[in-house]
This record gives sequence, structure tokens and C-alpha cells, in this order.
Amino acid sequence: MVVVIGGGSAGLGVAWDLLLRQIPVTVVESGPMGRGTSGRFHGLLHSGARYAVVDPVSAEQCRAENARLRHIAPSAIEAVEGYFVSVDEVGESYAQEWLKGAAAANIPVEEVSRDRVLEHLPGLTPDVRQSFRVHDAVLEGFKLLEMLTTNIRSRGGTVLQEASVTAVHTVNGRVSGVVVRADGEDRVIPCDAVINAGGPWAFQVAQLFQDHLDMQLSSGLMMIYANRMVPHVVNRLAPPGDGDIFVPHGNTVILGTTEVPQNTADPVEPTRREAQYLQSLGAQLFPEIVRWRVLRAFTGVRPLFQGSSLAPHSRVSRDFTVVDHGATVGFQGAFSIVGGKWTTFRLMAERTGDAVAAYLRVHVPSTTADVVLTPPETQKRQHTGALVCECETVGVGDLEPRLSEPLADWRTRTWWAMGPCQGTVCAHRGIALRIPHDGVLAALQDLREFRAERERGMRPVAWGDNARQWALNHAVTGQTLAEGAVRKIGD
Amino acid sequence: MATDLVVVGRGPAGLLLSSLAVQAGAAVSVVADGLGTLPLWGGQWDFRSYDTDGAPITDPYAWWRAREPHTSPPGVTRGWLAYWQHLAALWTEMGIAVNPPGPNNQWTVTPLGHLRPTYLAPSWQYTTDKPSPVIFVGVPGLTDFVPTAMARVYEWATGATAYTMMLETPPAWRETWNALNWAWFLDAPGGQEWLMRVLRGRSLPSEGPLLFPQILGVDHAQAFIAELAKTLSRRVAEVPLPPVSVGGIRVQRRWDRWLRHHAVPFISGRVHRAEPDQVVLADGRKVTARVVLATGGVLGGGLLVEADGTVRDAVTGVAVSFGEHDDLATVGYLETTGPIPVVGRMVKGWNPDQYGEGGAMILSTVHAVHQRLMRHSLETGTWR
Repeated sequence: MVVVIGGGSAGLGVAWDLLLRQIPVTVVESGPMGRGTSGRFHGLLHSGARYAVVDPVSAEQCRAENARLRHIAPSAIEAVEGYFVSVDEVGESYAQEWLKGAAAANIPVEEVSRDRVLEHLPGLTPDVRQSFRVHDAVLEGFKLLEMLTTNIRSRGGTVLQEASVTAVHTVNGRVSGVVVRADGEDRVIPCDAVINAGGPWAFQVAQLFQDHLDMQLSSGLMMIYANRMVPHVVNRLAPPGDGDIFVPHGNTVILGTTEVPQNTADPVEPTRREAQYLQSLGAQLFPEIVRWRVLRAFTGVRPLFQGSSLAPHSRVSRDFTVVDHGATVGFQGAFSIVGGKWTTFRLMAERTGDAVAAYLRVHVPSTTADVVLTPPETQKRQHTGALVCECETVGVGDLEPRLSEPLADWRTRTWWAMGPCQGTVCAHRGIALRIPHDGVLAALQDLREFRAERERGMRPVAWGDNARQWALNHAVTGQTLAEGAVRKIGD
Repeated sequence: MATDLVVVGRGPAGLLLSSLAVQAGAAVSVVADGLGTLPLWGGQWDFRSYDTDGAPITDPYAWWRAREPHTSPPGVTRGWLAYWQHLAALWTEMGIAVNPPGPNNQWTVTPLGHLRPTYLAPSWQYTTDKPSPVIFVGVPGLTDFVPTAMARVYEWATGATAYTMMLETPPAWRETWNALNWAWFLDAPGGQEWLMRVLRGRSLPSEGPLLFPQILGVDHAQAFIAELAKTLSRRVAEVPLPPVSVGGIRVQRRWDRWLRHHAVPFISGRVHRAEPDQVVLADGRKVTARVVLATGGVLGGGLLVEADGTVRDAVTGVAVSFGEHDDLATVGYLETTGPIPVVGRMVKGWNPDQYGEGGAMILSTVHAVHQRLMRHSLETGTWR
């Protein structure tokens, strides 16, 4: 048995990898699935072109993994294609170097005429000078996380949510079990190895192995605009920087991102100032962005890795690293997987799986590149029953089969309350479905947390039309639903 | 256009000010570029519902008395009761039955089944001074009103019994029906007969009023509710739902009709520029008269929020708040009786959504501006 700490792309990916090698696994996630970095990214499935100059190894890995993910998880990928456009002299001169890098990494790039690109990308600045098409795509992260979860479970693996590992037991210096706390109770799960896939929390998890991971965390802001204003991925052709990428996602488009060093693993609250800055950068590609309707802002934490306390670790890429804590501090059977990106999650999982399988003396190679994931039944949207969420057309029939899932998963799995109204007129409807199942207090607590979470994303970008939506949200929740004052009469 | 007063905006503040001016003998025009905010609400008016710690307030008069005159909204010192009585009388004249304003807040039920205070509500809305057993009557497909869930919350919050009933669907029903579809269906004789027949065939719990979602008709709801109550020998009332809200639509239709009967034209258009004595519409039309802005706050569209957090009047461009550090929930006008008077609930420093004082803000600003206009008219013989 191997215990994996963390239910993001790395954790679920390595659990899936090990299961396919016939190694039993238990994934322990402390929150809802994808609450960390995996659920907080712009949704880009890289072609590799973005790293053609700055990180050729990543570029090559992205190119290969892009093709593999299209094969193993087609329903979680929208093959929209992407463009790299230069809009100034900096971009134009960078283009030569970039084309060379792309060729070296075997990344297909096709030059597109100015007229053609303006036709394909309405609203793109007329300052566009050169443009190239690449195989960028959209990765629906939450969908893939759920697919991994259900596939792991259907092969006999265990995935625990809202549970955390509080201690790791050893016998003769080798991992023998972990203590898992869930619902206030501790229990021991015996295991032969434990994998830290904590993402930005990897530092804290590694302390369970008495090792010190030197993480370099940075926060990235993203903004979601209501309406699919950009039908393809658009990258600014320039050295990667702030505010240089647009990714269409469902009915929206996401603008990313910024890079601000931070000390904590929890995502920081977006600020109005940073959102304004990001939008001003986006305006260099799409000048009309100031008139687009912004929906919300969110931040994600990049968990970059600097090093472990002791030198020997196998640095497999500039991008991600597998740390064997047996080699670093003599804690045999403990591994950490740090860094990386969604596009290469499968490769990270394979490399980690190789290390763990070797430790367990299981000589079965990874097969994740070939085994196609089965989409769960619940991902076939029903659109049946009375409408609950009008923005995203989620019906009672989509939600009722999921009554035992945490409320946060309703959002990320059905897209309930994710549309332009941000739950203003549908959150209470969803909660009403849950009250008979969860009880009054738990359901109302969920509702309060839901509102607070939506507020964090809406308030910093409450301007223009979105300010009116924000005000409507406050008026309906404060007055019609009087949610702030739910209490027992006489209390 | 020969008019004394031009009111910009047709939300509750604009309509109330227009009505007061009409009653005082002014010729009034209303200019608006949208439907106004009334269809967002059930139609009830709040006085002050919660204390700063969130506790419900029983006697809002006492609450306001304890604060006057220093912290009350502009123009208000005394006179609350007269303002509320005027509103109730005005509504009654329009055909909106309303209980006479009393000393205390009443309880009303939310779509989640808990109680909240309100002050003045049309009589179709369920209000009570003491929680007691109720019957929630649901209709299929209306996820805003789930009787089983509401009953759980109601019993938890009040300790009183809540019974539930679900009705079947009428033949004309479609899965896409929302509250407004139901309301129009039940506004016509066919729909009313259907509901009457269904309810006569049901045995009702022995106690409690029948509480429906707010769908019992549009223009004929009041008469239909009275007929249901008589036939079933039971109190029948509604729970207002989130927007689009049928109660506010009923109020708006009656109010518009009343103003039209009093020769008030509704001019459709967006005001581009405003001066104290003239507005210019985006298409170049001009209306020359004493101007009052009832354009609303951030929600109504009267205040625009810019990316850096600055909040400006949408018509005059004047900033009422600067930058990101102000609380958006309490932005508004500090002074409402300037050269171009402003009426509405957006009074700086107050948070009607949190504390339930929006109705009080509207009454106070409308009466303050009205009294000033009246004084001017009496002194000079003209409204301008």
C-alpha cells in the first residue's frame, strides 16, 4: 500500500500510475479535490511553444504530453488551437529565437497572415505584426481530476477527502504507516511508502519526514471574463511575462497571469490594484477588454522548488523534481514530488511512480501514457429536471445524484453557480436541495462559506457591469434571502 | 414639453417623488432608460430590520429615535409615521392593499424558510407578529421554493410546525416555467379555476395559513388570493422570491398606471447631461424643467464604479467616492439636496442590504427633496 498526500493533479496522477502497476494506493486530500494549484490555473494545455526559448526541456515535455493527454483524456480537452502574436518590436525580434527553439523541440508552428488572424480573433489589436498557430488547447482541470478520482476508485484505489495525514510511522527507518485524521478521529493506515504531492503545501508535508524542502512560492492572478470573447488560446509572442495569455474556457475567457512572491501556501486574496494592472496588460492584445464584462478574479500558487536540505536528489527537469527522502535524510519510503505544471502531470506521475516502484521492488513499467481514462457517468450532463442554475443550465437532475459530494465539488463538477450571476439566484436553490440530506445547520454553513468564497473573487473586480452584478448579489442575499441574519428567533 | 419637474429614474424613489409632486399640483415627467429596479423586489419596504450586531429589531421607531438627529439620513428629524402613512394611503389608492403601518416590524418568511423583519408589505405577502404553524405549498419545477427544505429551516428557526404540500402540474405546464410564467397562468380564469379545483380536492392540515411562492397572479392576484382564502376558509399569502420578482412587478404596474392617470408621461431614453433646469438625452432631446435624479446606486445604474474603485454619478460625472479603500456596500451621496437633488436609498455610510433600512432611506430622501421643492414653489410661485 502507498499513501499519497494531496488530491491535485500530481497526487491523483501518481496514484493512478501506481495502481496501473498493481500497487494499491490511498489518496488523502485535506479539502475538496483541486482546492490547491490544480484547481487554480488558467486552463492551458501547453503546446510547448511558450517554453521554446526559456526552458527547452519543458517545451519538449509539453509537446509530448499534450499529444498523450489528448489520447488518454479526450473528453477533458478542448482542441481550440492557439496563437502566438507579436504586437511590438520586442515581440518581432524575439520571434526569430522563438522559431528556432520551437523547431529544436519539434513543436509544429504555422505562420498565419495578419488578415487571417484578425478574422480568427475578432477584437485583436490591429497592431499585430506576426502570428503563428500552435497546438495549444484547453485542459478542463476539474473534469480531469474527477475522471482520475473515479478511475482510481473503480480500480480499487481509495480517495479520501476532507482528511489529513498527521503523522508518518516508521519501523527501522522505513515507512510503515500513516495517521489519518478525518471527522476529528485518528486512524492508522499501514503502508510501505508515502508520497508527498502537497503542491504549495509540500514544505509542511515534508516536515512529517523530518526533511526541509526549500520552496519558492509565487502567486499568480487570473481574471475571468463573462463570454467567450476569444475563441482560441492567445499568447503574446515575447519572453513569458505578466498578462500575456488568454484561454477560452466554457462560456468565458481567462486572462493570466502575474507573478508575485509569497510566503504562505494558501492562495492570497486578489486585489483591485493587481486586477487593474493585469487588465491593462491584457488591453495590449485586446484593447476592447475595458468594455468586456469581468466576472471574477482568482489567484493560484506556483510551487517552485529550490532544493532539499541535503544535496542528493534527482532533478529530472528544470520544472519538477522527485525527492527521495531516504536519500536526503534517511527517511526510507518517503518521496516528494514538487514543481511541475498541469500539462506534464502525467510525466511527473510516471517519474515518481518509477522511483516508488523501484523502492518497492515492483518491476512493472508505467502504462499511463496508453491507458485511456473512462469518463464517469456523472460527467454526462443531464440538463434534466427543473432548472437550478440558469447561467450554466444545471438542472436538479445534474445535482441530485451528487448529494453526498461536498458543495465545492458541485461547482467544479457541474459548473453550478459558476456563471455570470455567481450564484446570486441559484445558490439558495442548490442549498434547498441539500437541506433534507445534510440537515439545516450544515447546509446553511455551506451557504455562508459559498457566499464568502464568491465574494472574494467578485469584489476586487466589481467595476462596470460586474459592479452592478455584485450589488445585485448583495441586495438579493442580504434582503430577499436575508442570509446574513439566519438565526433562531428569540436567540 | 410643458412640465414643472423632470424625474430621472423609475425605481421606487423616482415613482414616490413623482407621486408626491403630482399630489402637490406639479406637472411631472419621468425619464428612464430601463425598467427600474422594482421588478427585483417582492414589494415590501424595510424601516430598519437589524441592529449593528445583526439582531432583529422589533421597534424601529425606537431605534431611529435613539439616533436622531445626529446620525439619521439627510433631512429627517421627525415625521416617520406620517411618511409611512402617506405611502400606505397612496398604495391603497392605487389598488395595492397594505396593512396600516404599526409601531413594530413584522416577520416575513424568506425562500429558505427562515424569518426576517420587514415594516410595510402589500397584503399578498405573508407577514405576522408572532411565528406560528404554517403550510408551505409548492409547485413542481420551482426550485426557488422547496417546501420540504423550507419546513426544516422554519421549524429549526421558530420551533413552530411547518406542514408541506406539493401541487401537481397543470396541463399547460412546461419544465421551463419560472415564477412569472406561473403568475401569468394564474392571472387568467383558466389557471385560477385549475388551482381552485386542485386545492378543493386536497385535505389541508388542521392549522396554519397556506403559504405559496409569489406566483398567484399579476394584476388579479389580490382578488384571487381573497377568493382562495374565502373558499378554503384559511389565510392565504405568498412568500416573495428572488428576481425577477412578481410582487415588484405588480406594484410597478399599478404605480405606473396611477401616474399615467395623473398625466405623467414616461419618456424612454438615457440622460446624457443634467443641469438644475434641464436634461439632455443621448439622442439630443431636451426636457426643460426642475430636475431630480432618482437614478439609483450601483445596482440601479445611477452610480458607476470604475476599475480603480472610484464611484461616479452616471449622469453628472461627479465622484461620490474615490479609489479602492471605500466600502462599496456603503457608497452613496452625502448631500442629497444640492443644486440637482438626488433621491434614493444610496445614502453615504448606510448599508441597506445588511441592515434593512432601504425603505427608510428612500422615504427620508424623497420627503427631504419634496419639502424643499414645495417651499420653493410656495415662495416663488414656480417649481423651477
